Amino acid sequence: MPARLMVVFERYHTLTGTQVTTSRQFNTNVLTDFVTKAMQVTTKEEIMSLLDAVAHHYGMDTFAISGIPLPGERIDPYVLLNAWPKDWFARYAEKNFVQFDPVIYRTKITNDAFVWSEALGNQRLGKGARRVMAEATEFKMLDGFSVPLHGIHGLQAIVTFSAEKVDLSEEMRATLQLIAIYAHNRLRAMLHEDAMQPARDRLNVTPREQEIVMWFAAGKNAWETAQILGISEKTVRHQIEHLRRKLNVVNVAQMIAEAFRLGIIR
Amino acid sequence: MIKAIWNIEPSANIPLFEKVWRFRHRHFVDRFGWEALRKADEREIDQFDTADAIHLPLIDDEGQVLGYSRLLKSTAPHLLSDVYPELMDGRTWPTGETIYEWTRCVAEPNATIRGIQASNVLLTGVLEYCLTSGISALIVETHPKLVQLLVNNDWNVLPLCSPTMLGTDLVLPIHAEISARALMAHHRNYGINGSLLDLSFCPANPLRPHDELRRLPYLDGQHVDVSAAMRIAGE
Repeated sequence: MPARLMVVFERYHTLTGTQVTTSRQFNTNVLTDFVTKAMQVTTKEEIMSLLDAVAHHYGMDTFAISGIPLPGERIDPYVLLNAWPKDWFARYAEKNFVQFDPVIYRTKITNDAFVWSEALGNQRLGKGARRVMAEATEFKMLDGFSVPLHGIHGLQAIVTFSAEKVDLSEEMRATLQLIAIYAHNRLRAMLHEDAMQPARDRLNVTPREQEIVMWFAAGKNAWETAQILGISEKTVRHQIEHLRRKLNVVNVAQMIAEAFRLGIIR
Repeated sequence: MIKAIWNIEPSANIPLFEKVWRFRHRHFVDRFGWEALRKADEREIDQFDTADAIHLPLIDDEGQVLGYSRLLKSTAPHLLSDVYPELMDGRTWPTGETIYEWTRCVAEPNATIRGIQASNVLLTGVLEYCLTSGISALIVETHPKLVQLLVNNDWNVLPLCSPTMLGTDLVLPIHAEISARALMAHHRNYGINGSLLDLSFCPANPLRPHDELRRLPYLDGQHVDVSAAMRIAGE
């Protein structure tokens, strides 16, 4: 194990009071701890501080999570979480480095996580790309580990960690990749939750409608739902029809799908 | 469509089984190079293919196998218990009557069924089968990238242990919860508009063998290729 990580290990042992921890146990502890906590938090700042702890466990100094702008677009509106040095981010945004950044370029062509020095070391970089990497070193971002996240409709985001030196085993990289996946997913869910609020307010779904669609989603039919709620089947059908029109969908399956998407049921 | 097979001995002489063993051999041995599974007769069958195993082949409208998955009881020998328990690094994992292990998941690359990519039909169909039969969670030994795909589709996934190298692959064991929320995300994300299950072959519920499987009430129609229907209608 690299000397630098031994230090991290010892610090972790002191914190957790454990006696002997292997590298796998360490990874499992960090991973399960992050995932459990990330599911409970509700703010970006909390994700940031959880990620900060993870980054330091693995000897990484800074990190960011961002969507990928289209050619010609600026990065600022795509950034989901930013722990870069302030001055570096300001320069990166102002000089529109995202258009030349070889790390961003690589993210677009692979869905494998990569260490910058390994993925870019043997490549001939263009003038713009060399400049981005050279200026990053002024902020001690000499190397990094990046996780491209490809979603259902293509590239979704990049989670990137940087450090003066990256010294991570395959298993550590995979652990960090998983943490990146969970961090991004939690952020995405929070943003989605907020974005759906106006629609929920506008639709004004009644508690009764919400209750009925919940039972339908649980696999109950109209008759069963009526029995459970102690109302007539006719009332259930009437309410469902009403909600179906509110949500502007053609059948019950779509109604349930929309109810989940809008956060009417969970 | 997913044609469930359950409670049939693998030695039974049924044509669909033959297609399944050959499909598995072609993909896992010939394509992925899992040499330990190679068989002279090119039928990939192992000790877990008992009558208790649930086979979920994906069959297109011409009867070709385009995908496959197998579910094993977590209360009987399965891969995590008997083949690579070291993936758990000494930890225990959830087992129970409603928890199954998802193995041998594969789809024909670039194939489509009724307008949807075969791999997406397969994942969605496995999820629908679990929800229909009352399976509450799946244990899967997989790559971190599958975790990304699942959480993107609203699955609740818990890593059971950190990833480790298994041969040349990174693998971690996960616990993936079965939910209507995830099934509906699959339907929205992939444009699926109905049930993907064909339960006519083995209608009994493996969790309650005296009961017949009942399709989810909100998915009483089969998925249809809407764009093809529109083309036929001349739109």
